[in-house]
Amino acid sequence: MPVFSSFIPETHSNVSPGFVDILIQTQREELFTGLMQLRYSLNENLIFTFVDGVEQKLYRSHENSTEILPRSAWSQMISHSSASVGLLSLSLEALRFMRVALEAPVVRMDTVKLNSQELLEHTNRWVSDQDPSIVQVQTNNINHWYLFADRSSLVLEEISLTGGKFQFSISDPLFARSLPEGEHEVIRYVSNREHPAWQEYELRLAFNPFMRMLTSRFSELAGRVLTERLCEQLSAWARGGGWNITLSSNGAVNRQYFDTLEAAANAYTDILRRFQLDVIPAVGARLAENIFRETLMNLPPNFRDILNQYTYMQYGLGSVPFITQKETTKL
Amino acid sequence: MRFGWDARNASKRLMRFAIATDIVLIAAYSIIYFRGPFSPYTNNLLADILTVMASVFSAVSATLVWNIYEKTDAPRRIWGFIAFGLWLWVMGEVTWSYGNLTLPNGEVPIGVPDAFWVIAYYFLGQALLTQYKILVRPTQPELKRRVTSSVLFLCVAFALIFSILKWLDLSSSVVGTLVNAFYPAGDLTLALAAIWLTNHFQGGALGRPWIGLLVFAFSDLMYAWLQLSGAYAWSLDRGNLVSGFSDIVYFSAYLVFSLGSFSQWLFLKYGMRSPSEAR
Repeated sequence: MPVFSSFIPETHSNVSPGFVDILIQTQREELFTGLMQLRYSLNENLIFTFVDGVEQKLYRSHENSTEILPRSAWSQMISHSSASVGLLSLSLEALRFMRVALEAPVVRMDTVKLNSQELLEHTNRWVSDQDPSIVQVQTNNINHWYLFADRSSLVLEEISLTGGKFQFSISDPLFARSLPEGEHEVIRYVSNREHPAWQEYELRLAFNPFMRMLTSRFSELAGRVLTERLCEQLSAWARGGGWNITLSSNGAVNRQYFDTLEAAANAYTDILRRFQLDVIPAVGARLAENIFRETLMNLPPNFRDILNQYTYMQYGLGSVPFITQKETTKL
Repeated sequence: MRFGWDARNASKRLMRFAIATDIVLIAAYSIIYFRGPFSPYTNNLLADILTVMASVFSAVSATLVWNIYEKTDAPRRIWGFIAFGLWLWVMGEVTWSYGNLTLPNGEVPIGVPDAFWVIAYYFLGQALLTQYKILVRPTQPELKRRVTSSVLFLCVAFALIFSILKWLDLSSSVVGTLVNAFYPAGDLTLALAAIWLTNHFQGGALGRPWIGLLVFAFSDLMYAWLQLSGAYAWSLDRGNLVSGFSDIVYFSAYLVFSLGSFSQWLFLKYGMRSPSEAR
């Protein structure tokens, strides 16, 4: 979804490849998190993503899609001619939003003009739609983008562009009520749920309630003190593994940027495996396994499916036949 | 209570100390029972003191576990019931020992101690029920079904044992036979529930107290059965091993239960710590 690139403010015009290198080096030193756009002549547009000063990916935007360039091609891509450079500082959450926007393919684009009431009605339909989408709402020169991917909860991630600044926030499907009266220009970019960017996004959404329910169940069995100790231990272990994920009795605070679905799935699987290893000495292997199965059963179906697909099956508990049987027999 | 040790060592050493203390107590009880090194009265007094001590150990361990949980923790309710039940058993042991030392021939009739012992079963049953509710999270009908079937099992076992005792005609009063029939029935119900819980916790630290309860229920069941069948009195008259073995098992069962609870307390206090925190 290349639309974001037009909102990245240009900071340096027509600079040499050497100066681009210096700018990249500066972002590294300043531990920059955000987007760096390089515009070349012949309408070529490259976007770097940075997390804490480390380049994550380089995208080349085309008219309706974005291509991820391999790391080996980076130096060649940025050194062939002079470029105009734009920088957009973002929070980690906003950058994760951007990653979905940049990578997820757009299979259909709908443009409509809607008043707040109509937008509210449309939003209710989009929330339950099987296909995920990014919805851009333009109102009074303020742009809002919403991610519609979570079919089970009533949480929408939102980015709004106000006064040249992108701000990330958590919204809900009633957001239209807070918009000013009058008509809004709405563009809906419908995407494909099977794309790894959406899968990674949904896996992250599912991981948090799963961890919250697991810790809460463990707390019921073992008490709060032991649960807090378990969470501290798991958080320290995750930190040691290089993941910025903190666990508490309220669930997981996930401030990790995963650049691939595999990296995310492996990290979540490892944390879940570690959780199980740590609770076995307290409640025994059988009960630990039951806690996992039971918790998975209590999740909304889409969360259960994605966790089954990317973490639980890898994890080796062979849950799917068991859960299917339980659902059939209602036991 | 770490004595300058790190958490892991403190836990191991305190557990070793508790096991060693229990072994010494069992050895002392066995020596007093079989060798009778002092006068008969003193031997009796020491054996009763040791039994009361063992019951106090189990009640104190359970109280420690209850105390370590926070007020909002669900397991605290379980341990509240267990601790209260065990303190009632302590009262039973104290009043029985008093009767044993003051009454002629040391024969304690059915009375106050049995009231403590029997009431304690209600609290232990509540503890098991609470643990069941936490583990299984049953629906209201499921819970009713389980409670009904457990109470029914207890009643059938009780009626069956009562009928057998009446048929054997062991010249006991009706109240005495009723109370005597209750113990094996109650023990059997507790033992079955403890087997179910032990199986659920399979090796987990939080399941150890239930193993202790299982041992306790079985030993008490054996003791009750020997008493009721007359084998205990017969063995006592002939001075053979059966009564001695039964008494030692009964005494040890308190200690096994206290070890199970104490190991849970140690786990709650020192367990699940990272290596850096353990220091």
